[in-house]
Amino acid sequence: MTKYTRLLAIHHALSDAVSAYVVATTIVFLKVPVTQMFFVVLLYNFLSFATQFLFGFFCDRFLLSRKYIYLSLGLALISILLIPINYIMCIVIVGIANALFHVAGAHETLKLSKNKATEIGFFIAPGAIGLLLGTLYNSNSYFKLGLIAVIFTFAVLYKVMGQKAQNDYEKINPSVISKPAISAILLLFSVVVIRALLGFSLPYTWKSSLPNATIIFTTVIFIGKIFGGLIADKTSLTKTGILSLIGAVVFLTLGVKFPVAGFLGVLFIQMTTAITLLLIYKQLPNYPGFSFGLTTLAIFIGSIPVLTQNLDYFKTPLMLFTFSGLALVALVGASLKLKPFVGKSNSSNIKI
Amino acid sequence: MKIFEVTKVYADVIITEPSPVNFSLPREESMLFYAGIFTVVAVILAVILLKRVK
Repeated sequence: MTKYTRLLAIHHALSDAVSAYVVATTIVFLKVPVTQMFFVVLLYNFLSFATQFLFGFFCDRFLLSRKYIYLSLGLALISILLIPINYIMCIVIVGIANALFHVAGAHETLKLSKNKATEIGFFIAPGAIGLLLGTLYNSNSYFKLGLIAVIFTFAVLYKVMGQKAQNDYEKINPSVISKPAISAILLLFSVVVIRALLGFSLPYTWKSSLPNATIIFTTVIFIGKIFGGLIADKTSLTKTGILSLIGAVVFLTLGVKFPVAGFLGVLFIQMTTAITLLLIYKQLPNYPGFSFGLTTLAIFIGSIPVLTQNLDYFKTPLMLFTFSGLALVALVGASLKLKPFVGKSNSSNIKI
Repeated sequence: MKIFEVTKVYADVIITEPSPVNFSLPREESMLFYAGIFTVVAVILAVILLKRVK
C-alpha cells in the first residue's frame, strides 16, 4: 500500500463517520419514531449508495476523482454545520458527499491497486469502523468538532500528497478487455445484493442479549474485508470467494444457535467484498468508479427489505441457508462466465 | 483549559439549537413504494450505462 492509498482508506472511515454522525444526530434531534426513522435512513442510503454508479460513470469518463474528493470534504463540512438549521438538507448533502467520496476513493484505489485485492480490502474495511464511531458518538459536541478538524486536515493532506499520486495513476494504462461479460457482472451484482440482505437482516435472537455485539460484528466485518483481499491475492479471486461462501452457508445457518458460528459466518461472507468488486472491475477496467457504484447499488437493493420493514419473510434459519446458498451458486456461475484480460496492461496479473 | 471550555459551550449551543424547519415524514406503508420507485429508476439507468461502457 502507498501512503496515498492509506490516506484514502482512512478518509473512508472519516466519510462514513460523518454520515453516521449526521444521520444518527438528525434522528435523535427530531425524535423520529422508530417506524419512520427508517425513512430517514432509506433517503440517506438512496442518495449515498444508489447514486454512486452515476457519479462513478462521470468520474471515470472525465477523470473527476480529485474534484469529487474536495467537493465531498466541503459538503461533509456543510452537512455537519447545517444540523441545527435544516435536517433534511443535512441528510441530502451528507448522502451526496459520501457518494462522491466513495466513487473517487474507489476510482483512485482501484487504479493504483495493480489489481491487488488486498489494497481494495484495506480501502473498503475502515468504513465499518467509521459507521460505528459516528453512530456511537451521535450528538457529541467533541466528536463533531473532531470531525470538523479532521476534514480540514484531510484537505491539506490531499493538497500535499495528491499530486504525486495523480501523476502515478495517470501513467497507468487501462487494461483491455474484448467485451465485458454482462451476465457475469449481473451474477456478481446478485451476490452483493444477497450479501447486503443477509448483513442487514441477520435474524439472531442473541444479538440483543450479547454485550457489545455491535462492536464485535463491526470488528468481524473489518477483519473479513481485509482477510478476503489478502487470501485472494495469495490464491485466486474466485476460489477464495467460493470457499468463503461455502463457509458462510454453514456458519450463518449454525449462527442461529451459536453466536461464535454467527460471527464466523459474517466473517466469511464479508471476505467476498473485495473479491466481487475486483471481479466486476476486471470486466470494466476503464470504469473503476462505475464498477464500485454498481456494487453499492446492489447494497441499496439488499437493504430495502430491512428499511421498509418487510423483513418477516427473511427471518428464518432456512432463509439464511437459502440466500447464502444462492449467493454461492451466483458466484460459481459468474466465475464460469468471466472473461480474462486480453491485451497489454502494466497492472500485475492476478488469477481470476 | 479555558479555550477548551469555551469551545465546548459553543459546540453545545450549535448542536442543541432547535430546527426551524418542520416536515412530515412519509407513512410507514408508503416506504416500500418510495424504495421501489428509487430502485427501478436507478436500475434502469445503471443498465443503460452498463451497455454504453466498454
